Amino acid sequence: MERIPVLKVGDFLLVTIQEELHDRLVLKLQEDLLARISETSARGVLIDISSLDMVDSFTGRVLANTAGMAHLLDAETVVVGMRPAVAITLVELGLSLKGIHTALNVDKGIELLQSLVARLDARSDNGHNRSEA
Amino acid sequence: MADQHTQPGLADDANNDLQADMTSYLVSIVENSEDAIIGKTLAGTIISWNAAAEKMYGYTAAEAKGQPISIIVPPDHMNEIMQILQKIGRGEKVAHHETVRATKDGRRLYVSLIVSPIKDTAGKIVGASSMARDITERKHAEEVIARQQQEILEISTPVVQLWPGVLALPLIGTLDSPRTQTVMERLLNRIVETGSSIAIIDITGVPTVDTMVAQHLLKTIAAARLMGTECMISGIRPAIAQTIIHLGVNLSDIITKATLADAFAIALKRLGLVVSHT
Repeated sequence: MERIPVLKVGDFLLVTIQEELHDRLVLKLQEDLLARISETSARGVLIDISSLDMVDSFTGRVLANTAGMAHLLDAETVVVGMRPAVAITLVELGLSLKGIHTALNVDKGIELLQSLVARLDARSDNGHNRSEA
Repeated sequence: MADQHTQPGLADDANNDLQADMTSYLVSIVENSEDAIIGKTLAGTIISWNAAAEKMYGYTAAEAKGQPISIIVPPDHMNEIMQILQKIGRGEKVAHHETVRATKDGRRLYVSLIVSPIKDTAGKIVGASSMARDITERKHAEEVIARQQQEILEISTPVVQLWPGVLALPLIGTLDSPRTQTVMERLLNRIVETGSSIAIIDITGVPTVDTMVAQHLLKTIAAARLMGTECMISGIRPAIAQTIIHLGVNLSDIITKATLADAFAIALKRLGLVVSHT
């Protein structure tokens, strides 16, 4: 069965989506990704969608949900490389995916993940609730 | 035509006179028309050619008659003429068809064509008559207008780079939907090209903000955020601030600054840069 590879890079997991996502594939990705987070205790997930021409509302929602789930497993998610046309489509569909972090490319995504993780660690050291309301 | 056979003798002569008058009358209409009127067989051989056609295409009637109609058709439009003749052969008309024709000296003309069937006395379609009006000037004017519209659109929506990683979009003039669409696409494309993580939309030059414009701005900002770029709005004048609140538009998630300078200062701070006097 086709699946999208999840690579471990240091403390982070890297997912590069290169083929068009259909509903089953994106759900499979969600499952694989959560399993890998819990196996590896990864602190962050980068999802690179720069080769996608199209993201439908289902995929958009699943990605946002996955970010929320990963957060519960102590990993932050950053979606990187979204194309302008894809961004416009999602906004027109009313999906602004407020819950997920985004970055222009993988480099900037890693920087963002590092700062997010550092901020979370600082907060939990201070004894605050980590969930971002 | 039918009464020609039923009325014998003198009446027949009178009828012939009337017909001759009528024919010269029709010829005169055709000859003095401002439109080029050309008759041709269904195979495309030219059989009549009026004065306006001489003037428009540069061939005299003597030169044109007997030639194939393809002498006035540019090579890239050859298929079209066959299609028109086939249509006529089926008894259909072609009205206000805008196309291109070639003159004797090789110029290209834009023409508006009306083509209708020529029938013989038995009602059989034997040819086609076309009336062509030269619309080259109008076409050129239309092209100029279209180009100028595009230029205005481009001039009025520049995306400038203030610093590596910082883009500014100074909006000037009234925003309508097609313009906002262009603005939105251009900003997002420039974000990708320059890899900018901060974009400042300056609306100092925008006279009014209505609900649609506000929605478009919010959409642009949401789309930029999805790509990983933060947008700020600067240059909100007091009157516009009032309108925004009265319209109930929620800009509370967005960083808004009074001037472009303030927004730029924030942007530099975000990038970890400091401006200092030396």
